[in-house]
Amino acid sequence: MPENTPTLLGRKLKRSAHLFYIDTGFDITSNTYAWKLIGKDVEDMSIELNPDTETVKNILDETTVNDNGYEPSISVDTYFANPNDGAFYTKLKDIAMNRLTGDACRTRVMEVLVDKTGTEFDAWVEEAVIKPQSYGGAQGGVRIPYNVLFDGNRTQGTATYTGLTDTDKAKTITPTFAAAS
Amino acid sequence: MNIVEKMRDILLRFPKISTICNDINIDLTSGEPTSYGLSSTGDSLISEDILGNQTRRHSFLLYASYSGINDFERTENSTALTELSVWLSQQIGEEVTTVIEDETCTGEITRISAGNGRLYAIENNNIITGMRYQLQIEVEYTVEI
Repeated sequence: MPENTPTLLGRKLKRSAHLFYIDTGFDITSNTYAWKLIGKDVEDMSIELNPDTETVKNILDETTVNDNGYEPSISVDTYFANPNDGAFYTKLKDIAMNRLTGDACRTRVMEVLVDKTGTEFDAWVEEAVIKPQSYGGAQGGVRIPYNVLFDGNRTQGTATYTGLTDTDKAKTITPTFAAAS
Repeated sequence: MNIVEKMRDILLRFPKISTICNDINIDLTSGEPTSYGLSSTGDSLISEDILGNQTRRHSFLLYASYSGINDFERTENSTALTELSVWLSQQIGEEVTTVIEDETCTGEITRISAGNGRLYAIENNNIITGMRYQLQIEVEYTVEI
């Protein structure tokens, strides 16, 4: 079946077709992942690529562009502290309350684009640093907004959702990741 | 329970409800003194997160028939509605179900606000049994899809 089947996915991808996970193991040397899907209570979240470019004009009035790459990051502005989130909550609490830095904040993240039928989708895994920005917030619940700073070693591969029969339900299954050979 | 069934269930748990009424009807009161009617007046989407989970708002009107023969009784009636308003605002976290495209989704009540409790009508000019009060209730709840 072709990609972007209109009857299944609609004319444009739903926002929930781009899924973002954080490895709650916080161990970049591990061969296994413990993915936590991000996005509950978050109404707007983008991967900011922050491209670093500069335009230079030489003495011959010729213009060139120097492309210095990207400094991607994500701002997750709404996270309600919830002990039911298990390891993710425990780690975020630890980082924020004990002011952890460096490798203690380093883990891996995965992006998946559910843009076709089946159970396997394009995925990218990259190291990242998780940094809480504040905690507390207004009435309604304890908030811990945090930033995700991408830190390189980006790997493309495949996310497999075993047992998936409806792409709209991908978010209910924890995928496994395999790097492209 | 869907949001209508859940709100009826919550109202029946109001500690003072048993002293002033025995049941809450849907849409209409029975007309008897201290009978209540819960009427659903609309449901709307407030927000949706990036995973598709929804926050919705459901509006209700609660009709209450009281006796209001004098100022003392009428003060008692308004006091009961005020106490109910405050009590309702504390009833959050209750689980509700919502059917979307034939699939039952769960969620929880995150906010209940009640206001505009007032005398709505006097049926047949009967102030002994026909004082009908109205309370507007708005409930916000989540739907995890």
